[in-house]
Amino acid sequence: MLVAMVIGLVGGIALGFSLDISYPTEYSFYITMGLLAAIDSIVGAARSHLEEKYNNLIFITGFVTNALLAGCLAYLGDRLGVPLYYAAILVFGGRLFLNLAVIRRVLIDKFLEKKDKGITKK
Amino acid sequence: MKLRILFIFILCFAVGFSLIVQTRVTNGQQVYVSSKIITDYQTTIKSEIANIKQIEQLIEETEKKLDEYRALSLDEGSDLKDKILAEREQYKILSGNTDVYGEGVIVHIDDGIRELYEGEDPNAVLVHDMDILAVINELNRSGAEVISVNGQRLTNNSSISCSGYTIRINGQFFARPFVIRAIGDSKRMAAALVAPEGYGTLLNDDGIIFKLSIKDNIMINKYTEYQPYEYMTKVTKEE
Repeated sequence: MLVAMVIGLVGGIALGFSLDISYPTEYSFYITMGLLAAIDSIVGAARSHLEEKYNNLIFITGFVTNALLAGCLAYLGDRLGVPLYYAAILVFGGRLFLNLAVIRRVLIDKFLEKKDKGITKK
Repeated sequence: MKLRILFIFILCFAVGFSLIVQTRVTNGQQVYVSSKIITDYQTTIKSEIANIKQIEQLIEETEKKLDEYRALSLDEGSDLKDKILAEREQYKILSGNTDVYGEGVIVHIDDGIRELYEGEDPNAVLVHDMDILAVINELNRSGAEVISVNGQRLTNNSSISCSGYTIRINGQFFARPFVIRAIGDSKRMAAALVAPEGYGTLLNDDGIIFKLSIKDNIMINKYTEYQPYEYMTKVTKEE
Protein backbone atom coordinates (compact mmCIF):
# COMPACT_ATOMS: atom_id res chain seq x y z
CA MET A 1 0.00 0.00 0.00
CA LEU A 2 2.69 2.46 1.01
CA VAL A 3 4.78 1.39 -1.97
CA ALA A 4 1.86 2.06 -4.33
CA MET A 5 1.41 5.52 -2.80
CA VAL A 6 5.06 6.48 -3.16
CA ILE A 7 5.32 5.12 -6.71
CA GLY A 8 2.12 6.92 -7.68
CA LEU A 9 3.28 10.22 -6.23
CA VAL A 10 6.72 10.03 -7.81
CA GLY A 11 5.25 8.94 -11.14
CA GLY A 12 2.70 11.76 -11.09
CA ILE A 13 5.32 14.37 -10.24
CA ALA A 14 7.63 13.04 -12.95
CA LEU A 15 4.84 13.12 -15.53
CA GLY A 16 3.86 16.63 -14.41
CA PHE A 17 7.40 17.82 -14.94
CA SER A 18 7.87 16.05 -18.26
CA LEU A 19 4.60 17.24 -19.82
CA ASP A 20 4.23 20.95 -20.26
CA ILE A 21 0.52 21.26 -19.65
CA SER A 22 -1.19 24.54 -18.96
CA TYR A 23 -4.84 25.43 -18.62
CA PRO A 24 -6.78 28.65 -18.12
CA THR A 25 -6.18 30.04 -14.65
CA GLU A 26 -9.93 30.25 -14.03
CA TYR A 27 -9.99 26.49 -13.60
CA SER A 28 -7.02 26.28 -11.28
CA PHE A 29 -9.31 26.79 -8.33
CA TYR A 30 -11.36 23.73 -9.18
CA ILE A 31 -8.20 21.70 -9.71
CA THR A 32 -7.00 22.75 -6.27
CA MET A 33 -10.34 21.68 -4.82
CA GLY A 34 -10.03 18.28 -6.51
CA LEU A 35 -6.48 18.01 -5.26
CA LEU A 36 -7.57 18.64 -1.69
CA ALA A 37 -10.37 16.09 -2.00
CA ALA A 38 -7.89 13.55 -3.37
CA ILE A 39 -5.40 14.10 -0.55
CA ASP A 40 -8.23 13.81 1.96
CA SER A 41 -9.40 10.56 0.38
CA ILE A 42 -5.89 9.09 0.40
CA VAL A 43 -5.34 9.85 4.07
CA GLY A 44 -8.84 8.57 4.84
CA ALA A 45 -8.07 5.36 2.97
CA ALA A 46 -4.83 4.92 4.87
CA ARG A 47 -6.70 5.32 8.12
CA SER A 48 -9.45 2.84 7.28
CA HIS A 49 -6.81 0.44 5.97
CA LEU A 50 -5.02 0.55 9.31
CA GLU A 51 -8.31 0.17 11.15
CA GLU A 52 -9.18 -2.73 8.81
CA LYS A 53 -12.48 -1.16 7.81
CA TYR A 54 -11.50 -0.31 4.25
CA ASN A 55 -14.12 -0.58 1.50
CA ASN A 56 -13.49 0.13 -2.18
CA LEU A 57 -16.97 1.46 -2.82
CA ILE A 58 -16.86 3.86 0.11
CA PHE A 59 -13.43 5.07 -0.96
CA ILE A 60 -14.35 5.81 -4.59
CA THR A 61 -17.80 7.29 -3.92
CA GLY A 62 -16.36 9.36 -1.08
CA PHE A 63 -13.72 10.83 -3.33
CA VAL A 64 -16.10 11.59 -6.20
CA THR A 65 -18.84 13.16 -4.09
CA ASN A 66 -16.40 15.20 -2.01
CA ALA A 67 -14.65 16.54 -5.08
CA LEU A 68 -17.98 17.34 -6.74
CA LEU A 69 -19.32 19.13 -3.67
CA ALA A 70 -16.11 21.13 -3.30
CA GLY A 71 -16.24 22.11 -6.95
CA CYS A 72 -19.91 23.08 -6.69
CA LEU A 73 -19.21 25.19 -3.59
CA ALA A 74 -16.35 26.96 -5.32
CA TYR A 75 -18.53 27.64 -8.36
CA LEU A 76 -21.47 28.81 -6.27
CA GLY A 77 -19.14 31.03 -4.24
CA ASP A 78 -17.84 32.52 -7.48
CA ARG A 79 -21.37 33.29 -8.61
CA LEU A 80 -22.52 34.70 -5.30
CA GLY A 81 -19.36 36.58 -4.51
CA VAL A 82 -19.05 34.81 -1.17
CA PRO A 83 -15.99 32.60 -0.65
CA LEU A 84 -17.93 29.38 0.00
CA TYR A 85 -14.87 27.27 -0.85
CA TYR A 86 -13.62 28.09 2.65
CA ALA A 87 -16.09 25.48 3.88
CA ALA A 88 -14.46 22.81 1.73
CA ILE A 89 -10.94 23.88 2.68
CA LEU A 90 -11.79 23.87 6.38
CA VAL A 91 -13.50 20.49 6.28
CA PHE A 92 -10.80 18.83 4.20
CA GLY A 93 -8.02 20.40 6.21
CA GLY A 94 -9.61 19.54 9.52
CA ARG A 95 -10.23 15.97 8.44
CA LEU A 96 -6.64 15.62 7.27
CA PHE A 97 -5.38 16.42 10.74
CA LEU A 98 -8.02 14.22 12.38
CA ASN A 99 -7.19 11.23 10.17
CA LEU A 100 -3.49 11.77 10.71
CA ALA A 101 -4.06 11.75 14.48
CA VAL A 102 -6.01 8.48 14.23
CA ILE A 103 -3.31 6.93 12.04
CA ARG A 104 -0.68 7.96 14.56
CA ARG A 105 -2.63 6.46 17.42
CA VAL A 106 -3.20 3.18 15.60
CA LEU A 107 0.47 2.93 14.70
CA ILE A 108 1.55 3.70 18.26
CA ASP A 109 -0.89 1.10 19.58
CA LYS A 110 0.52 -1.50 17.22
CA PHE A 111 4.04 -0.58 18.17
CA LEU A 112 3.25 -0.86 21.87
CA GLU A 113 1.52 -4.20 21.35
CA LYS A 114 4.62 -5.53 19.64
CA LYS A 115 6.78 -4.26 22.44
CA ASP A 116 4.52 -5.86 25.06
CA LYS A 117 4.61 -9.14 23.23
CA GLY A 118 8.39 -8.89 23.07
CA ILE A 119 8.50 -8.31 26.83
CA THR A 120 6.15 -11.22 27.62
CA LYS A 121 8.14 -13.50 25.35
CA LYS A 122 11.21 -12.71 27.34
CA MET B 1 -6.94 -5.96 -2.10
CA LYS B 2 -5.45 -5.54 -5.55
CA LEU B 3 -8.19 -3.08 -6.50
CA ARG B 4 -7.48 -1.08 -3.39
CA ILE B 5 -3.82 -0.65 -4.26
CA LEU B 6 -4.76 0.29 -7.82
CA PHE B 7 -7.16 2.99 -6.59
CA ILE B 8 -4.64 4.40 -4.18
CA PHE B 9 -2.00 4.35 -6.89
CA ILE B 10 -4.22 6.20 -9.35
CA LEU B 11 -5.19 8.80 -6.81
CA CYS B 12 -1.64 9.39 -5.65
CA PHE B 13 -0.60 9.67 -9.26
CA ALA B 14 -3.30 12.27 -9.85
CA VAL B 15 -2.30 14.19 -6.72
CA GLY B 16 1.35 14.35 -7.72
CA PHE B 17 0.52 15.24 -11.28
CA SER B 18 -1.95 18.01 -10.53
CA LEU B 19 0.30 19.35 -7.79
CA ILE B 20 3.07 19.94 -10.29
CA VAL B 21 0.80 21.23 -13.04
CA GLN B 22 -0.88 23.57 -10.60
CA THR B 23 2.36 25.00 -9.25
CA ARG B 24 3.57 25.49 -12.79
CA VAL B 25 0.44 27.33 -13.89
CA THR B 26 0.06 29.59 -10.88
CA ASN B 27 3.80 29.97 -10.25
CA GLY B 28 3.10 30.48 -6.57
CA GLN B 29 1.14 33.62 -7.28
CA GLN B 30 -2.41 34.24 -6.18
CA VAL B 31 -4.71 33.32 -9.02
CA TYR B 32 -7.45 35.71 -8.05
CA VAL B 33 -7.45 39.12 -9.69
CA SER B 34 -7.91 42.11 -7.46
CA SER B 35 -11.12 44.10 -7.56
CA LYS B 36 -9.16 47.08 -8.82
CA ILE B 37 -8.24 45.29 -12.02
CA ILE B 38 -11.82 44.10 -12.45
CA THR B 39 -13.19 47.65 -12.14
CA ASP B 40 -10.47 48.82 -14.52
CA TYR B 41 -11.60 46.32 -17.11
CA GLN B 42 -15.26 47.08 -16.49
CA THR B 43 -14.80 50.79 -17.13
CA THR B 44 -12.73 50.07 -20.20
CA ILE B 45 -15.38 47.75 -21.60
CA LYS B 46 -18.16 50.23 -20.84
CA SER B 47 -16.42 53.13 -22.52
CA GLU B 48 -15.52 50.83 -25.41
CA ILE B 49 -19.18 49.89 -25.87
CA ALA B 50 -20.25 53.54 -25.70
CA ASN B 51 -17.56 54.31 -28.27
CA ILE B 52 -18.85 51.65 -30.64
CA LYS B 53 -22.38 53.03 -30.42
CA GLN B 54 -21.16 56.52 -31.16
CA ILE B 55 -19.12 55.35 -34.09
CA GLU B 56 -22.10 53.50 -35.50
CA GLN B 57 -24.18 56.66 -35.24
CA LEU B 58 -21.44 58.64 -36.89
CA ILE B 59 -21.30 56.19 -39.76
CA GLU B 60 -25.04 56.56 -40.32
CA GLU B 61 -24.87 60.34 -40.23
CA THR B 62 -21.91 60.55 -42.56
CA GLU B 63 -23.53 58.19 -45.02
CA LYS B 64 -26.56 60.45 -45.14
CA LYS B 65 -24.35 63.47 -45.68
CA LEU B 66 -22.42 61.66 -48.35
CA ASP B 67 -25.61 60.91 -50.24
CA GLU B 68 -26.58 64.56 -50.06
CA TYR B 69 -23.22 65.69 -51.37
CA ARG B 70 -23.32 63.16 -54.14
CA ALA B 71 -26.67 64.49 -55.26
CA LEU B 72 -25.24 68.01 -55.18
CA SER B 73 -22.06 67.16 -57.04
CA LEU B 74 -24.06 65.86 -59.97
CA ASP B 75 -25.47 69.36 -60.53
CA GLU B 76 -22.28 71.38 -60.93
CA GLY B 77 -18.55 71.31 -60.22
CA SER B 78 -16.69 74.58 -60.01
CA ASP B 79 -13.41 75.94 -58.67
CA LEU B 80 -15.14 77.78 -55.90
CA LYS B 81 -16.55 74.57 -54.55
CA ASP B 82 -13.16 72.89 -54.60
CA LYS B 83 -11.67 75.82 -52.76
CA ILE B 84 -14.38 75.76 -50.14
CA LEU B 85 -13.92 72.05 -49.69
CA ALA B 86 -10.16 72.41 -49.28
CA GLU B 87 -10.68 75.11 -46.71
CA ARG B 88 -13.18 72.94 -44.95
CA GLU B 89 -10.67 70.09 -44.78
CA GLN B 90 -8.13 72.44 -43.23
CA TYR B 91 -10.60 73.52 -40.55
CA LYS B 92 -11.55 69.93 -39.96
CA ILE B 93 -7.95 69.06 -39.23
CA LEU B 94 -7.56 72.00 -36.88
CA SER B 95 -10.78 71.42 -35.00
CA GLY B 96 -10.23 67.73 -34.52
CA ASN B 97 -13.03 66.58 -36.78
CA THR B 98 -10.92 64.34 -38.93
CA ASP B 99 -8.33 61.61 -38.44
CA VAL B 100 -4.79 62.83 -38.87
CA TYR B 101 -1.39 61.20 -39.11
CA GLY B 102 2.23 62.23 -38.96
CA GLU B 103 5.51 61.77 -37.13
CA GLY B 104 5.44 61.95 -33.36
CA VAL B 105 5.78 60.09 -30.10
CA ILE B 106 3.74 57.46 -28.26
CA VAL B 107 3.93 57.56 -24.48
CA HIS B 108 2.85 54.60 -22.35
CA ILE B 109 2.13 55.37 -18.72
CA ASP B 110 1.10 52.62 -16.33
CA ASP B 111 0.86 52.02 -12.59
CA GLY B 112 4.13 51.01 -10.98
CA ILE B 113 4.71 47.37 -10.04
CA ARG B 114 7.50 47.86 -7.54
CA GLU B 115 7.14 46.89 -3.88
CA LEU B 116 6.09 49.70 -1.58
CA TYR B 117 8.39 50.82 1.18
CA GLU B 118 7.16 50.29 4.67
CA GLY B 119 4.44 52.80 5.43
CA GLU B 120 4.52 54.22 1.92
CA ASP B 121 1.32 55.54 0.43
CA PRO B 122 0.31 53.30 -2.52
CA ASN B 123 -0.76 56.46 -4.35
CA ALA B 124 2.93 57.01 -5.01
CA VAL B 125 3.02 54.28 -7.67
CA LEU B 126 -0.38 54.99 -9.24
CA VAL B 127 -0.93 57.15 -12.30
CA HIS B 128 -2.94 60.26 -11.51
CA ASP B 129 -4.75 62.72 -13.71
CA MET B 130 -2.09 65.25 -12.72
CA ASP B 131 0.62 63.08 -14.24
CA ILE B 132 -1.27 62.83 -17.51
CA LEU B 133 -1.91 66.59 -17.49
CA ALA B 134 1.74 67.33 -16.81
CA VAL B 135 2.88 65.09 -19.66
CA ILE B 136 0.36 66.70 -22.04
CA ASN B 137 1.50 70.14 -20.96
CA GLU B 138 5.11 69.16 -21.57
CA LEU B 139 4.21 67.82 -25.01
CA ASN B 140 2.35 71.00 -25.91
CA ARG B 141 5.28 73.06 -24.67
CA SER B 142 7.63 71.19 -26.96
CA GLY B 143 5.57 71.69 -30.06
CA ALA B 144 2.97 68.95 -30.26
CA GLU B 145 0.39 69.75 -32.91
CA VAL B 146 -2.24 67.25 -31.86
CA ILE B 147 -2.52 64.92 -28.87
CA SER B 148 -4.77 62.02 -27.99
CA VAL B 149 -5.03 60.06 -24.74
CA ASN B 150 -6.25 56.47 -25.02
CA GLY B 151 -7.75 57.33 -28.39
CA GLN B 152 -9.52 60.47 -27.14
CA ARG B 153 -8.48 63.43 -29.23
CA LEU B 154 -7.73 66.49 -27.14
CA THR B 155 -9.39 69.58 -28.54
CA ASN B 156 -9.71 73.15 -27.40
CA ASN B 157 -12.27 72.23 -24.79
CA SER B 158 -11.02 68.86 -23.66
CA SER B 159 -10.90 68.13 -19.97
CA ILE B 160 -9.05 65.58 -17.89
CA SER B 161 -10.12 64.84 -14.36
CA CYS B 162 -9.70 62.21 -11.69
CA SER B 163 -12.46 59.70 -10.96
CA GLY B 164 -11.23 57.15 -8.48
CA TYR B 165 -9.17 54.46 -10.12
CA THR B 166 -9.99 55.84 -13.53
CA ILE B 167 -9.43 59.09 -15.33
CA ARG B 168 -12.13 61.02 -17.11
CA ILE B 169 -11.13 62.40 -20.48
CA ASN B 170 -13.69 64.35 -22.52
CA GLY B 171 -16.39 62.84 -20.33
CA GLN B 172 -15.34 59.24 -21.01
CA PHE B 173 -13.78 57.04 -18.35
CA PHE B 174 -10.43 55.40 -18.96
CA ALA B 175 -8.41 53.04 -16.84
CA ARG B 176 -4.70 52.36 -16.87
CA PRO B 177 -2.57 51.92 -18.96
CA PHE B 178 -2.63 55.31 -20.61
CA VAL B 179 -1.35 55.75 -24.11
CA ILE B 180 -0.66 59.32 -25.15
CA ARG B 181 -0.06 59.93 -28.84
CA ALA B 182 1.29 63.25 -30.02
CA ILE B 183 2.09 64.43 -33.51
CA GLY B 184 4.79 67.05 -33.83
CA ASP B 185 8.56 67.40 -33.67
CA SER B 186 9.19 63.94 -32.26
CA LYS B 187 12.80 64.47 -31.23
CA ARG B 188 12.03 67.67 -29.39
CA MET B 189 9.08 66.13 -27.57
CA ALA B 190 11.03 63.00 -26.64
CA ALA B 191 13.95 65.08 -25.42
CA ALA B 192 11.71 67.21 -23.25
CA LEU B 193 10.15 64.20 -21.56
CA VAL B 194 13.13 61.89 -21.06
CA ALA B 195 15.65 64.57 -20.18
CA PRO B 196 17.30 64.09 -16.76
CA GLU B 197 14.97 66.74 -15.37
CA GLY B 198 12.05 65.79 -17.60
CA TYR B 199 8.71 64.66 -16.30
CA GLY B 200 9.07 61.16 -17.75
CA THR B 201 12.31 60.60 -15.84
CA LEU B 202 10.62 61.90 -12.73
CA LEU B 203 7.75 59.42 -13.12
CA ASN B 204 10.15 56.56 -13.74
CA ASP B 205 12.08 57.48 -10.59
CA ASP B 206 8.82 57.35 -8.63
CA GLY B 207 8.30 53.79 -9.83
CA ILE B 208 5.58 54.55 -12.36
CA ILE B 209 6.03 52.84 -15.70
CA PHE B 210 6.79 55.43 -18.37
CA LYS B 211 7.74 54.36 -21.87
CA LEU B 212 8.28 56.63 -24.83
CA SER B 213 8.67 55.58 -28.44
CA ILE B 214 9.26 57.71 -31.51
CA LYS B 215 7.21 56.74 -34.55
CA ASP B 216 7.26 57.99 -38.12
CA ASN B 217 3.59 57.48 -38.69
CA ILE B 218 1.11 57.98 -35.91
CA MET B 219 -2.64 57.95 -36.50
CA ILE B 220 -4.77 60.14 -34.25
CA ASN B 221 -8.52 59.66 -34.36
CA LYS B 222 -10.91 62.50 -34.67
CA TYR B 223 -12.91 63.90 -31.80
CA THR B 224 -15.89 61.59 -31.37
CA GLU B 225 -17.85 63.19 -28.55
CA TYR B 226 -20.95 65.29 -29.08
CA GLN B 227 -19.83 68.91 -29.06
CA PRO B 228 -22.67 71.42 -28.87
CA TYR B 229 -22.06 75.14 -29.23
CA GLU B 230 -25.16 76.82 -27.85
CA TYR B 231 -23.97 80.04 -26.30
CA MET B 232 -21.45 81.63 -28.55
CA THR B 233 -22.27 83.56 -31.70
CA LYS B 234 -20.05 85.36 -34.12
CA VAL B 235 -19.40 89.07 -33.57
CA THR B 236 -20.25 91.11 -36.64
CA LYS B 237 -18.28 94.23 -37.54
CA GLU B 238 -21.20 96.63 -37.39
CA GLU B 239 -21.56 96.29 -33.64
